[in-house]
Amino acid sequence: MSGRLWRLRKKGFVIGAAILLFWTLCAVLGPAIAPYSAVKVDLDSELLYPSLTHPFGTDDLGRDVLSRVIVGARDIVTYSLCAAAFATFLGLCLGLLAGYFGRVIDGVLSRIGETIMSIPGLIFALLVVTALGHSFFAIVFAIGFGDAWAVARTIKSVVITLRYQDYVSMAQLRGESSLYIMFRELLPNALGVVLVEFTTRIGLSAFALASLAFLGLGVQPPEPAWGLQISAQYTQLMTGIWWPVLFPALAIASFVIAIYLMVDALQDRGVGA
Amino acid sequence: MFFLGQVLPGSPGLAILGASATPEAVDTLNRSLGYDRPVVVRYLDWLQGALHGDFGESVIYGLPVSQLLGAAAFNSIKLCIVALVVILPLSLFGGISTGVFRGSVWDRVVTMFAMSVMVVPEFVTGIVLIVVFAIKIPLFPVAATAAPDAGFLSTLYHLILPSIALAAVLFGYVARVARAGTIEAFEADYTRTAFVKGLSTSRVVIGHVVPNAVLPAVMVIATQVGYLFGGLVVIERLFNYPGLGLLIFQAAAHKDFPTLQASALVIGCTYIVMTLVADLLQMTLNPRVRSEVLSQ
Repeated sequence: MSGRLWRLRKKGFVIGAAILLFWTLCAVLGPAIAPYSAVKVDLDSELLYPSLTHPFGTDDLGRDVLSRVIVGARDIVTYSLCAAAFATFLGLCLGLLAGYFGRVIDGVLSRIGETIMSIPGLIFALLVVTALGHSFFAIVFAIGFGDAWAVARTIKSVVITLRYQDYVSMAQLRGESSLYIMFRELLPNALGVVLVEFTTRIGLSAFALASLAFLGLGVQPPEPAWGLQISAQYTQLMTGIWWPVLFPALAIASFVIAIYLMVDALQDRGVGA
Repeated sequence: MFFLGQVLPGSPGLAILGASATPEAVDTLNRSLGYDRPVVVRYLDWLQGALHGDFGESVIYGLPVSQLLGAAAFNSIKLCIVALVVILPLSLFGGISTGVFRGSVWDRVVTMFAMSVMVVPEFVTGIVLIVVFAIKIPLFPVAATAAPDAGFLSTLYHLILPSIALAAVLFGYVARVARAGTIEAFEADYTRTAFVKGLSTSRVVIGHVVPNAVLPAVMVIATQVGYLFGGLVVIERLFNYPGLGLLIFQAAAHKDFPTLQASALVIGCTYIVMTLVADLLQMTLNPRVRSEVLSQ
């Protein structure tokens, strides 16, 4: 990697982290820093064009779009972090099992994984949410469960390379339990991969989450989630009213791009290679 | 897939009659639809029908599913073809040119752009496209469907924005693979030989580098078919375009199981066929893989 490109990557990481920090702050502080209420309906000031008092304009119920974008960060941050954590943890367990025991267990887990992954992720999530409803856990499960199998595949491929290292044989000779070997010997050596997988899954979860919300099948109103705002307002694009839709859309874009800038930089550092 | 449909709470009878229907009416309707039989019997029944091209009747439209599916699939195929025709040359050009001029400003701008469109949800790309190219600069219509009696060109014209939004994700993948292929081809021995023979840079690029970069880039499309289906649902909803994606969305939203099952079957089959086609293509076009398979 040439020096100039490396600097560029590092800059990418800093920019990504800064954007992510910004949205995390919005998620934590939310209503405290928003200039207006995100949910209060004000029919006197509906569909105002962006101006100094309302920098992003107002939507069809007179709610301030900027405030809704700030408060809406909470949904995407919490949901995508939880879905990614769920996917990574489940995938890690499955990957360790398949990689360490191999043979039948690996075969069975791999077939199940292939079957699940042959259904496109968003359509799988759509079906699960239709079945289980729109609760927090249902949505996290719908998004994370499909992803977990992809994580498992990556973890497995790493575990297989570590499986026959001397320290694993040593631990086996010492009579350590399989559980100990998986979590105390193998896991610490695969942490880099786990970190990259986790970060990648945040981005993918945010993608799926926003798409589900846009379809009206994810987070439910009156939550000011970004995808949901777009879903409620996008038909007005026909009449040229773009501001209640474009700003949440740009917020989603900035969030996922920030995640991938960080993933890119992590991979370049050789973390998880 | 079938079994997932069966565990969904809420019966189809309830979906048809609405929430205010009496439990007895729902029961009667469920029985007349055959929903009181055991799951396995229903599955075999459905499988037998499906093999004969009979997917049953849509619960919400009251029409045969095969009829709905046919019309929707035709619309979606139209959209996908336009998408590929628009995006493929663009992304190949982007990928190869950035590979040739590696490290330049052009390379950095295009690589950054490709990464962005690859990770941003399709409907976000779609919205940005609508705002910029339909509202701010009114080049394209916001609606995806032309008037029924519109000619071929008008239909095509309406499909351009949705197809770009749909395939923007592909642009990222294809351009990235094409760029990597170009760089690899540049470092290969045959390229050095070509330079040593005294060929000009442009002839080396056209004759030796491009063919080696295009193949893996085209291959990657076949592996991304799954994403394309997810994209169809979102894009067809955004542009209100009556294709397979919109059908799946409406079926899921209204718990229309026969339609949902048949659509999932179509998607699964397409996915498997595309993966097979990709493998076969790779075998025919790359002698090295062919000999590896034969020697196994």
